[in-house]
Amino acid sequence: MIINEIELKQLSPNLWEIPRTGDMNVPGRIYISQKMIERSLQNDQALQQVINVAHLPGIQKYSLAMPDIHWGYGFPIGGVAATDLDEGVISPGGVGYDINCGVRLATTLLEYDFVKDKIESLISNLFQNIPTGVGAHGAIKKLSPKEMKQVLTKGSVWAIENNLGNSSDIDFTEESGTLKNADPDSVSQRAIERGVDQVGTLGSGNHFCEVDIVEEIYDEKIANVFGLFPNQIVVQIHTGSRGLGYQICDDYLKTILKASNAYGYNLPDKQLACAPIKSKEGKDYLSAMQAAANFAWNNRQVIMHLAKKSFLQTFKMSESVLGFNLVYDVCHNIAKIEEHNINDELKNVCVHRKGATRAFPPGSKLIPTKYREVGQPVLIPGDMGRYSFVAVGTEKAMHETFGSSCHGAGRNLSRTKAMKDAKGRNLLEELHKRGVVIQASGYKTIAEEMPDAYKDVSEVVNVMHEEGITKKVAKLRPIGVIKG
Amino acid sequence: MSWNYKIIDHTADIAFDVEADELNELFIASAQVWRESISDDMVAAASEEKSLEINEESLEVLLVSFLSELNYFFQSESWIMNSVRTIEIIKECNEWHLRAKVLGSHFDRNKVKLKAEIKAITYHQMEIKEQQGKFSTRVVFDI
Repeated sequence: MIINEIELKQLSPNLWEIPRTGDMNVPGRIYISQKMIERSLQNDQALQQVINVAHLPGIQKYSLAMPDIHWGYGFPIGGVAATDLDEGVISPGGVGYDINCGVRLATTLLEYDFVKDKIESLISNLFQNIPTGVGAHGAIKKLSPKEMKQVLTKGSVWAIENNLGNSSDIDFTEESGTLKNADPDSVSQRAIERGVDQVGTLGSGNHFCEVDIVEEIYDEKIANVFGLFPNQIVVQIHTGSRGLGYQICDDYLKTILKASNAYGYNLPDKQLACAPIKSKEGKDYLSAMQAAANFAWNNRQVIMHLAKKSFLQTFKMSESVLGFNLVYDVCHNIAKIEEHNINDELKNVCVHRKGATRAFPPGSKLIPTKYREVGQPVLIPGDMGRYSFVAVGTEKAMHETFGSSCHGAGRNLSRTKAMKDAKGRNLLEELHKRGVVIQASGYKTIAEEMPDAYKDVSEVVNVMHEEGITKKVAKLRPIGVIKG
Repeated sequence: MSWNYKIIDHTADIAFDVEADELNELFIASAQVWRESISDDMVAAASEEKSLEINEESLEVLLVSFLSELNYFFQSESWIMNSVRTIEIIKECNEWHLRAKVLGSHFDRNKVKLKAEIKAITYHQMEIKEQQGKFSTRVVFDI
């Protein structure tokens, strides 16, 4: 098949290869259905970006893209690339501006029938307790410089030490909520200033805190291990490193753009600017990126605490009756040093996941003991009107995609088109008819983020399921959401 | 003084093409689009002046740095630029130098309706060109 003059060789129903040509160091591989290719892949430059990423020095095996592939800055969204530690590079474009944007899922012991008459009150309390929207701030007291440094070093652990969660939450967070080589001194004063008042805030755009019902279970055994049951009320939180992360990416894109030229890299796209992982620039970016990642984990930990507080406020019950419990927290914009099998040799590589989620298999020592028999939970949020999914990582993912899977749906309509489409419609009423109560910082957000503005996440999840990269465990349906 | 801009339909972010007769007008126009993307409200508080001095190796990095500076004031000081009073852009010793004075004011986040949170000014598709006496570029804001 030829798309935009690029040859795609079909390897399996949902796996396509771009053969290595010219200065590509590796082939490209895209997980996507034929239907999705025909519908959307010719509309933007995402395929070309997969080819561009294949030019990165030290890239291993393939330049990968998950089925939620779409146009990003340098790397496509849905892009995964692993680079050799000695000869390879690290690229801020392969992480994105919102460092450690990610999702966490918490369960309760409540069922839908118990909460249905109080959804509006619950959503109202969530909206009161969790700052949302442009410039959201003030969830907890403004941090001192010393406290900020601790957050950047400790990640979620900071929140636990400040009574904003349970110590067991650490075990159920990717990397235990802390990347150990984070260096606050590699974070600019500007980035600190942007983040100091934003701990525990949601932000705006596609970030959300959503109350869902477990609508369908695909794998009862694994659902049981994850603590999921039918009609259960659960909570998803989607946010990242806020202004701190954006500023760090900004700061280091500039540094690494200069370095990229100095190292003589001749890359097809300026936004693929990179530096050797072992260079000063590479090391500084990695340790600053890790600090931002820690900030984001801490942020989601604090927001989860505020969500739990909102439940307790609404239902006036004890914590043990509520049974608020973290299932897992995954990041989908990150670069991490991980051990992978490259040509029958286990070696450490730098895995960039930009709009892609880690999906580690059963037996992995890097996932909680409780999940080791079944695999790592993979959380894939959809839009606020339809559904989200919980899936599980597999050995095939480890073998084919550096243990990676998709992260979400991707937009279908621009914000302008969405606003236009929303004219004359009563979106609150439409969402209400779907059984969703929403509170947002403005009607504009609801219009821009309406379900029609997004692609159908089930298509993306089904591709990963059919290819055996991640297996579906449960479907969640939204019943209430707060947005910025 | 002559410049114009056109918002481009972009699936996720804010993108626009801007064109001007002069290089410094291109920067002013871009700042104006940034301002309009943040809020339609005019802030009533007293105007203050801020001076900017930025040096970069390329025009694109200079433009990103200039707009990022405005974004930084907005994000961390709750100070919003309302207009560019003066701006001078020159090239010296293989480096671009920008000197500008911008007017703006502090604002109360509870009183001003904010339209978008611009995470960052990107380099995406940015290429400042001079053709037939006009300067032009595309600018994309990550939101």
